[in-house]
Amino acid sequence: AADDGDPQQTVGAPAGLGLEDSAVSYETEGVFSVGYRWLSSEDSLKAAEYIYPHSSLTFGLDLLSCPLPYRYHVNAEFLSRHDFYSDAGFAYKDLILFRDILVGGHHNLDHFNYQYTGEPPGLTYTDRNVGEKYDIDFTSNLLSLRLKAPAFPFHTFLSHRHVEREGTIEQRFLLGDFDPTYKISQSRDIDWQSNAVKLGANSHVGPVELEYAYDQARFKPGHNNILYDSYPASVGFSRPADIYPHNVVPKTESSAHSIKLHSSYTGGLVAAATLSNLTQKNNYSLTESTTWKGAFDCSWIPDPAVGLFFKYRHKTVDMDTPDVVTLAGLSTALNYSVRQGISYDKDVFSLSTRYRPSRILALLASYEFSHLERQDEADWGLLPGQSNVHTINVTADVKPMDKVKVKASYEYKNYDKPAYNTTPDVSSKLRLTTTYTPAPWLNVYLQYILSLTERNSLRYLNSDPAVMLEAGDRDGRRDQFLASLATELSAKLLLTASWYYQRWDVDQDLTYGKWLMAGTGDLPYWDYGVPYSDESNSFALSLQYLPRKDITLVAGLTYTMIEGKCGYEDVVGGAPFSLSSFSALKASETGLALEIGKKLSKEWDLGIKSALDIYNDRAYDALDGKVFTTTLNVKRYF
Amino acid sequence: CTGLKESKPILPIRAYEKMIVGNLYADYIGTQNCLAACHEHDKLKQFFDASTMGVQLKKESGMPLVDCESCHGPGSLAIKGLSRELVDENAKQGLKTPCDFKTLIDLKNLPATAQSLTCLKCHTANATFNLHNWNAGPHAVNEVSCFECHDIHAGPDLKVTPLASGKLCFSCHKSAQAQFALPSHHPLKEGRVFCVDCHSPHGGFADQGLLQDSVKETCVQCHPEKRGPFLYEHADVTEDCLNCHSPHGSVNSKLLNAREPFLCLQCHEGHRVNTAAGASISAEMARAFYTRCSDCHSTIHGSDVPSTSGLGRFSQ
Repeated sequence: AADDGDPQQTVGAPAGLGLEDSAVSYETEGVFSVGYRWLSSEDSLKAAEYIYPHSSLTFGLDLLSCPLPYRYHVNAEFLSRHDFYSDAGFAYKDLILFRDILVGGHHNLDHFNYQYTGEPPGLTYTDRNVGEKYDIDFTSNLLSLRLKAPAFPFHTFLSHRHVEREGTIEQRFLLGDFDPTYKISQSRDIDWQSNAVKLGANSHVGPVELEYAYDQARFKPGHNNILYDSYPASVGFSRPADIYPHNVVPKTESSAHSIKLHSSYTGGLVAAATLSNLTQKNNYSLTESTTWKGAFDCSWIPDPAVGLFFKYRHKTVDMDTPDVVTLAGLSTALNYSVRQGISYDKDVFSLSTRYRPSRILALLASYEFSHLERQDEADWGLLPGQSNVHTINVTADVKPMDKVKVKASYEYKNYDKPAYNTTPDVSSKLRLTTTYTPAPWLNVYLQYILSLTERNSLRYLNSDPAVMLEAGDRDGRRDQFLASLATELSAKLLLTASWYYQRWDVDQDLTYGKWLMAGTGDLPYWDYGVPYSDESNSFALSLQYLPRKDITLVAGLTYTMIEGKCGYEDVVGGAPFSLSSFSALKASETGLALEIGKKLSKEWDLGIKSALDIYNDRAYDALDGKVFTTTLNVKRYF
Repeated sequence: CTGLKESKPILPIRAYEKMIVGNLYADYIGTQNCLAACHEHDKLKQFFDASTMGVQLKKESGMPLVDCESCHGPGSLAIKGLSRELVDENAKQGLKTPCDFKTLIDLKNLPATAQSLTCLKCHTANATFNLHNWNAGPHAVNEVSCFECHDIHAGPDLKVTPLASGKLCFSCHKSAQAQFALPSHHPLKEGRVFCVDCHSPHGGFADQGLLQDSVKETCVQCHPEKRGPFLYEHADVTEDCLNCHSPHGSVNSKLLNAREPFLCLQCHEGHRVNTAAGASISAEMARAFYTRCSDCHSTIHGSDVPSTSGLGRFSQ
């Protein structure tokens, strides 16, 4: 089929039905809609995190047009000038392929509460923009153009991703040090832009296929990328009072070359190799990094019953950090030495096998070894020079009956010299999935995942005295359960329901700093077996009903409950507070949606869609809020 | 030129080749004798005509020609004994004239690898590089075929649109869908972020079928301000954003794996909780230290400015 000849010319054409080739005719078809969305909200916009909180005109367009050899398509949805989506494409034969995907979104951000009393002058909270609402607009445009040589698989391609964030965010920061402590919150206008371009070409070179691509990305942080503030003097750290820069968002750029090479995909033995080189640069601090990446994939299927898959990944990251940085205040210039960032080499080998002795059973087993070797880690005091991970995974995919499918997998990981306390020494993960379809109109899906982690000898760095502690342990357990049911009660009534439960529990020994006497630190306090948990229950119900041929009704209800707890102890004794109370979590979120569509004629539809979202912050009430939207929509088919 | 564009397998995969070659006793009859001839296929023909594959049936498309038998195998045995007159006569009586479709390749019941091979035969010849890591990728290893995601009889260019990708992916990855229902989530259900923004279903360099070569390279596509490199890096923690964030959804704000300060205390010793005299710090100081670490350490993803201490404490 890859040949450009007419297949009908190449066949023997025996006793066919004797039809002649008909003329080609494609009618342009599509639908255009226009509507208006009314929106009302109460209190916090947490319930409408991604909704532009104002009423707006809406429209949409779906279009497919194929005046061969040209093809066009457009799928567009415009909810407001802050909230839109468009996917447009053009093709000429298979020689020119163009596509542009444009997305615009609005994100309502939290304004964290700074209205605490503090303890002036030792501790002061200042919110410089009390009551300000924070939000950003996000725009992403992904353009791709592919040009192909006629009658030969040689392509050149270009892609460009433009990302833009614009709006006002809350900038929180510490002005100075502990003595005194000034915690500041203020508004910050942002206007960030990123442009990433990829150019490349690929083709056959004898028995293999080869691709070369060049990538370049630039990030421009806009006009407000450096903030300045008047810092008090710090006696302890010998820094004079001055106006210093802070919370800098640097301009960065990167470029990469990559080569890909592979054999035919169709063989019993298929090999693919990739080599790429990435350089990244920070134009503010002049920090640079170079990354080499290599990959080799090989699959060998000697027989339909057996498959072997080998993967190798290599990554070398070389950080080039300036040795000294100058902090330029308005009237002061201070030099500080800087430790090198972590450079590392990482190699990952994995071998997977698949054995399918029959149509009802498939067994998969894999082993993966990962080796990470760090450089300059001694300066960091905490990180091991090497970390290794061994992973074994076994999976059984069984279809004991026509109506039942079961998948069970178990994964065991062993970590040698884990770098961070969140990385365990050993972990186990069990996953069970069942799909049961007793009748064509009923489907039941069940999934349970259990993850267990264990870690001994946690690593904490104490500053005064400067010592690394290796003690304490951590045990984690995560349970996830999902049950979903989809049923077609009649040709006119579809119902789906689901329940998702997840809980994460961890018990970990924590450390808190300790004074021995004024100006002299001590080994830390240990808070043993601090329990931390997150729990959520999500319920969803949706219904689609066709009471008449010309009326469609869709209704949905979602309800999510979340709760988080932690149990820090009072390690000093007599503390007039509970640390746990500062990070409590208890909330629920309810979503109700109703959509009614009426077909007025072959060309015209009328629809109304309403949604109510309610967020109930049961812990602090700060994020309580409601958002109600109603959209009236008219559609015209053409 | 012909030799150059051939993509020959290193080692033929004979068992699957046999499955997709079709009936050796049948001959090719051309599309006009199958798709266009049978009323039963009217609807199928409409869908097909709108697709890239359908377009490729026509010379006018200017594309490499593909016909029904390219995938379904030779069809002469399927229409053996049929004639135009019989089809028309049955149609007049409201009857459909069935062909003997069992003589065609039983695509639906082929092993997944053989199904994919049907597609790969052409797509390797066309140097389709988004399939570069397909063969040892997670979908191929787990016997997910091209058919699961691409309906070759419908849709322009057979590409899954970004908006449709969520529904498609969630038909198998249901727990991922459930995670997007949590209060903190990327706007996927709102239709402003798509599975394919982060994942390549055809496989890639990184695990989890990520679109880019690492977790960080994937995230900084849309969060470029966190790309770096920075003068003060958070060691190599930020190489993997998943150390602190759950991208599909979380009960905690900002997609965090755990609430502050526990998130940070897992690895870092907390600030001092006693006074030099040995008593407990005050409630307000405790609140300042143990509510949100990021109130003060606001450049936690990397910083270019030394903190008051002269070190990289991410507070300036």
